Amino acid sequence: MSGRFLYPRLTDRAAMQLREALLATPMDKAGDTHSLSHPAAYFAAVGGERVDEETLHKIRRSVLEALEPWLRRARAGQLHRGNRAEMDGPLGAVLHETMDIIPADAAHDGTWSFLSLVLLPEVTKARFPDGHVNRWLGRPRNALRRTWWRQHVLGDMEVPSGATPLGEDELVGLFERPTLASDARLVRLLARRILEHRGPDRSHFARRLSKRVLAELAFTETALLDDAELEALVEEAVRSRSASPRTDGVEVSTAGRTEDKAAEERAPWTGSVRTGTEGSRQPEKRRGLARLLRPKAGQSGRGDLAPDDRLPPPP
Amino acid sequence: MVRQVIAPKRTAPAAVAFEPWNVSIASDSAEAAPLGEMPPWDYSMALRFSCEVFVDLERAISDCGLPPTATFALVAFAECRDTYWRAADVHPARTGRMALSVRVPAGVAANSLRLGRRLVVQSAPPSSDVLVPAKGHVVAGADDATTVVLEGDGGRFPTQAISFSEVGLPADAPWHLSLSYDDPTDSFAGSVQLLLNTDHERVARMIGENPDSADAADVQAHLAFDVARQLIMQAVRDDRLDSSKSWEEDSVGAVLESVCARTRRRNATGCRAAVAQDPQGFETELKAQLGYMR
Repeated sequence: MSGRFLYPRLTDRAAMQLREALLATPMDKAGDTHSLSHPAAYFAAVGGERVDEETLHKIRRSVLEALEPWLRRARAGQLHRGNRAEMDGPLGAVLHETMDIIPADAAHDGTWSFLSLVLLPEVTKARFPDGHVNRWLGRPRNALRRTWWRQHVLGDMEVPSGATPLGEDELVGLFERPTLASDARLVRLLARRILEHRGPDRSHFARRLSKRVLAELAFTETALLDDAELEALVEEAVRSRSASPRTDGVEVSTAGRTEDKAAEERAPWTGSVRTGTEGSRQPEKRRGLARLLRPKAGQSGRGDLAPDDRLPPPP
Repeated sequence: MVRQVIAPKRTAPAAVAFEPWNVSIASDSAEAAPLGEMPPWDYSMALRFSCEVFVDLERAISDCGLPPTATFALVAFAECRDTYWRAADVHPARTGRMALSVRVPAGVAANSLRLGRRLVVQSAPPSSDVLVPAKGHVVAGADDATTVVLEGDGGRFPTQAISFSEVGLPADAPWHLSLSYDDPTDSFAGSVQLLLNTDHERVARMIGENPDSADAADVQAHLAFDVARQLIMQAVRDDRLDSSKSWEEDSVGAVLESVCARTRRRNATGCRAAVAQDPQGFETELKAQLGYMR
């Protein structure tokens, strides 16, 4: 079995109480609220070995050491939006290296609520100071959870010379499409292809590429393809200048939804700028945008897309 | 709204007929059971899902417009979206009834699994017809999907099987109940753990190769009584539990009170009074009321 430990879990109710308390705590005091246990914490009933407090302490120490430059600036009130996202890469790496968690346990919200709000509250607050529940509670977009899973699935991705590391919206585009992210070979290939892209708008390229490959997967079984054939499938999606009949509708009608996933942040995997906050989401506006993008009756979907809605040619 | 999926290549949905999935513990020699009779599962257990499929390759070839030299594969896959995990077993297809299976290793899946089966082109000569499927294209089963719920909402008693000799517990003891809490408001599931000794021959058989035997049932009966008895005696010792208080659901206090409620004393206060009056008599009472050796 991969992974050894089960971790404590917090109920949403207990997590919300801790969130309220942490919101009211200044950043330079957030670390003082940490603990290795919580009265409301519980473990998965069966299926593994419970992590001990000594291991939790080691994890905390390793994370704090790895993130010290950012945490120091956060305590001094000098950690700005652009720098916060830089924490994600080292955070995912150190969590993945030290936790030895059973992946099944890492799929539970309560596990990440405990880690975010009990064990490492200052890290959570430094990364997402606004305290959005999706970031502080252990949901899929949790401050710690998403970095662990990205590290688990992608491993240490080598960034080509001169390329920017994967951005938050590019990673969201891959990981919030589980059909892509569940196929380890494919998602690594896609990540590498996105990193190699030299065009002007890589995020746009990444979104289009993910959607086209996803459409292809509905009728293609990757288990039968060797590495070269899988790479050819991805390159075909890159080259494709006109989508299949099925993808016309998909691309147009989901444009707004994809933006939902990606728009709240524009920050690379290790270092860039985060813009906007989840608190400023405007779903009505986006629905309106999606409506505008939807082809009118009597018009074909593809023909109505703007020229820049197509993937640029490969470098 | 009717959902119509249009495949970009020719397909042959009539060339296969899928039978329902069955499930078994991968390490178990027991026969596979229907999905509805899923055995108790936890992260440490590997599962095997199996099914039968009837394949008509002639039909597949003609419906897809492929030459007779084309070959197909049957693919059984399992994927867990919560853990970004997928496994696919590829079986060369032949006409007739075929058995498919896919294994889910321990620890890789949580919450639920999605199972699917597909007939896929394994090899085919190049065709000038753009509608003819090629290697990797799914010709049947693209929409075949079954969801298996692995983890229900019901609570389970926190349990771990370990070697007592390795952790310094008496090697001949069959089990140990660990109950540690600061306050009765603490989470019960976070405060209690039942340790089963894998060094103990009968316990090892119960949790291992022979969980359905008469001996395993006997061990389980002793275990259930002993755990209930220990919890009741803990409630008796903890005088913070009294009948004037109510406890939050799933807290130590609530669970201990609920176990005491199984006795005729009805709560921890009543049990405590009975122990104070006649300890041995209370033990005998427990054996009767908890159905020990019945």
